[in-house]
Amino acid sequence: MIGRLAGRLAGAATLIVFLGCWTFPVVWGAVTSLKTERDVLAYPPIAAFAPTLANYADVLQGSNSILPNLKSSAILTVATTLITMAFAVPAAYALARLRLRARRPLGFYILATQMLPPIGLVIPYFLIFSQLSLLNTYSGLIVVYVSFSLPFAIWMLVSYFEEIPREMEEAALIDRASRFRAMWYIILPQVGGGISVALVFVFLNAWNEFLFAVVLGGRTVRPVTVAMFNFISLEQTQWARVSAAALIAMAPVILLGVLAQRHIVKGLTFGAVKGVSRQ
Amino acid sequence: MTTPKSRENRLGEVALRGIGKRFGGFQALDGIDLVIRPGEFFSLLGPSGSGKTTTLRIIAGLEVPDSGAVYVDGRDVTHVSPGDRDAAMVFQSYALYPHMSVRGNIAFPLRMVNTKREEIERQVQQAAERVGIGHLLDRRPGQLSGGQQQRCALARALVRSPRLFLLDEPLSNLDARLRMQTRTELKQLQRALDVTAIYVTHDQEEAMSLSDRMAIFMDGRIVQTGTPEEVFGRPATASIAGFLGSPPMNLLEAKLLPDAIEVAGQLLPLPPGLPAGQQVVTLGVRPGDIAFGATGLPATVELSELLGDSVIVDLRLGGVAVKARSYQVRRFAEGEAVHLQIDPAKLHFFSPTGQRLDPHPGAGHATDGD
Amino acid sequence: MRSTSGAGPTQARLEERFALRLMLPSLAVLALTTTVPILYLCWTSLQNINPSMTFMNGFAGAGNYVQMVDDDRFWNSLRLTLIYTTSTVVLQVVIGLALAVTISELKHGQGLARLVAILPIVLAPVVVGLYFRTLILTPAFGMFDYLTVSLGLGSHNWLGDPSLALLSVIAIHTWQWTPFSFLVLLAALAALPADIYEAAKMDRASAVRRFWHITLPMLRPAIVVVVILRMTVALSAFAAIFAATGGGPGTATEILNLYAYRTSFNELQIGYGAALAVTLLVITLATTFMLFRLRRAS
Repeated sequence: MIGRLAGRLAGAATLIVFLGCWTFPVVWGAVTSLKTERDVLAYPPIAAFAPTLANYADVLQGSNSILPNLKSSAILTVATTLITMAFAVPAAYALARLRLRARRPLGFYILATQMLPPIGLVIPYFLIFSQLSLLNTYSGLIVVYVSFSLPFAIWMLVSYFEEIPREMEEAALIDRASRFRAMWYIILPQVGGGISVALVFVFLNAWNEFLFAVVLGGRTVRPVTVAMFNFISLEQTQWARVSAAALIAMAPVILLGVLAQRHIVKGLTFGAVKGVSRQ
Repeated sequence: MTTPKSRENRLGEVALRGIGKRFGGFQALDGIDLVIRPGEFFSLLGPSGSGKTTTLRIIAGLEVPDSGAVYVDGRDVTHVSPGDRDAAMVFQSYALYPHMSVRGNIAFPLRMVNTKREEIERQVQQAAERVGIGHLLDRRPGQLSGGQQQRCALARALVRSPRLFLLDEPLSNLDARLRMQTRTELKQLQRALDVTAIYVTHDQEEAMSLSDRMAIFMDGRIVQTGTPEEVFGRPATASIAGFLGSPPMNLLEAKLLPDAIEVAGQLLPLPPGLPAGQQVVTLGVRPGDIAFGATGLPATVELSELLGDSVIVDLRLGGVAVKARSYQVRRFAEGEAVHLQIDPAKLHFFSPTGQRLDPHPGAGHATDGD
Repeated sequence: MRSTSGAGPTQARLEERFALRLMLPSLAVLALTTTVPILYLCWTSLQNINPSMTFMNGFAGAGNYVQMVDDDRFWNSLRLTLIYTTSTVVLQVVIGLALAVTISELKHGQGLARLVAILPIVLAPVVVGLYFRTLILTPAFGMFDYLTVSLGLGSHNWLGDPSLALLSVIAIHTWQWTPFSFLVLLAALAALPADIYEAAKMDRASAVRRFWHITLPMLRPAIVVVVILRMTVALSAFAAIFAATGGGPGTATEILNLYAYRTSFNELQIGYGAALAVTLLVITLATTFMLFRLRRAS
């Protein structure tokens, strides 16, 4: 009896600690962003203060406005997501459902490209782009973004494509559909969920990308992840503004995370859970 | 759907010659020869893994044989794509398109050949009503019961008036009562449409009741072809005999003496015309051919199962287990002593290798096959 | 059953051709954007390239690699990479598992826990590094520092003190990614068949025993998946450390990929940086290969 009660308390306590620990930084960041720079510097930190939106105004409209950076992020992310999905969906279909002699090696190849550490790609890209004048261009950076999004998207989609029973194509072929029509009318409509999940992840990873953006971008092509550092210099850190900028920069992905939480959890756990329940 | 008269040269005759198929190291089919006549309801019967489904899939075009050829109405279709064979198929899992309505599912094969919209609507309505789901056209497959899904699959197959109607264990996912009911309806449907139906099943009762003719598969080969009466009445091998019937035929070791048969420690009169020179044989007698009487072979009752209109009795005949079926229903007590009467004319004989032994010509004739 | 032999020339070949046509665009993109640059990287690693001192440029053969062997800073970065990778992965799995097991028993709050777990995962690592650097770990300012002061542990320069910096970045990485392992293991736990536990309870196995002998072995595939995924991420983790310490103080948090970055883009020794990157690439591929082998064996 007591054991159970203690267990319940421990469980509840764990939950509270968990929630607190993992929400705190963002919450504190939000609180900080509403303080004036002076209030921010107060130590011990104060909980009661007069909130202000001046930081947000400054971050969006001031001399160091991150508005153009938001635009940069948006262009890069949306373009990457659309292009990646357009390539990944047919490729994943072929890999998952069609008889191909080279299927294994091709699958390994795609998997291998996903394992490459970004630093190994950033260096040659820097050299190549400088020679081709592709530094600080959207086209250059989108190509790079697609290159790391594609293998990931393909692998996510493959597991969703594999879920559909084998007979679907066969029934469609017998119903006089061509292979393309079987894919288009019968299979694709059934992976809508999987496509959404993959889309969310591609979007997240593209929006949050930093290394490629900081090395290969420049003055005009500079997403918010890089623009964060506008408010930090050797002399001083503009604490409140950094917090405001960070919150704005992270608002889209946090929103996406909340709205698409089921998709995200599904996407993360799909492969792992299959391994467990297959035993 | 078109009426039988417009079938013209789309008769639906299927011929398989020397079909062989291998999957990795496993020989699934080994020399399959078969002729299926137009308008026949033909069953492919056999246990799991015997090759019947593979054969159906080869006829459908979903698999390509390693050797041999498939002919439909005289045309070699061995390498023709499934969509070009004018064959429709009902899968065991139905393979309905879950994201389309019932209407969409049935209409799909018509859409694929660019049928006009009004024509599609008309034919879909007709096909759906034919199988009794005309009122469910706007539902999704996920909202239908198992029986309704099965009908939807049927409608989708038949809406295009195919030359061949292929069915892969379509009733196995239905509960027992629905299965019986649907069985009858299937047969009626096939008769009405006069379309060649090729039906795969492991359920011998299904095959017996539905088919005009059937082929029995074992280990990738066809071991007997014939009408239900032929196959049931004159099984070609002991294995077939032990597979058909419920309960299946009793198979007992027996010895042929010059003027009697010795089986289970008893002697039975020798039927006329048995081939000479066979000493040890396998004797087959159907449970329904064993009668209970005041005199006859002594046996003890072990168990009896009352089935309502008949009773199945598990007996011990001289130490050997035997099943009998009687339509004179009464309770049998465990341990009860009974007497069995067996008509010698109803006995089946098989050689030690399992081959059917028939009495000499004059007393009957030995044939098995199409 | 599916045919594994392409016996029918027309049908199987048509299907294959269709499949290749669908895959070709992606394969072409990947080949062009990953394989070509990697080859170029290897080639670059055999060169001396310095944009600011172009007179030094030229073919170096294996020179960069020879230099690496004698480079203490390289060995330091290798050591740090090893420590960083193993400790973050172990911590993520252990803490994530503990959380998953505890929270999976709760009747209420699981949905909330899942929602909260998503938050750190969707943040950009660079932002996380920045948050911690500014608001959490700054001595005499950050909330964590305030916490330690309040608990009597004093204020420390968490990111600026060479003896603490590595611990801090490990903590940051673990903070961000433990929820991932938590979510995966939570789902895996939910997928475990209940009847095995009931059988175990009837066999009078204690809770600890049940965990050790049933839960853990059955979770093994999920744990392996988590380990593989997190290990590859940890090996190439960049943005968070870059934002938090930049690799410093000095070289206290300079894991291999940060060393490669600094060498290439701060010190402009691109050839040597490439060689370092190649080494990281080899290590990553070897580790992944070994882990897959382990997974295959389980």
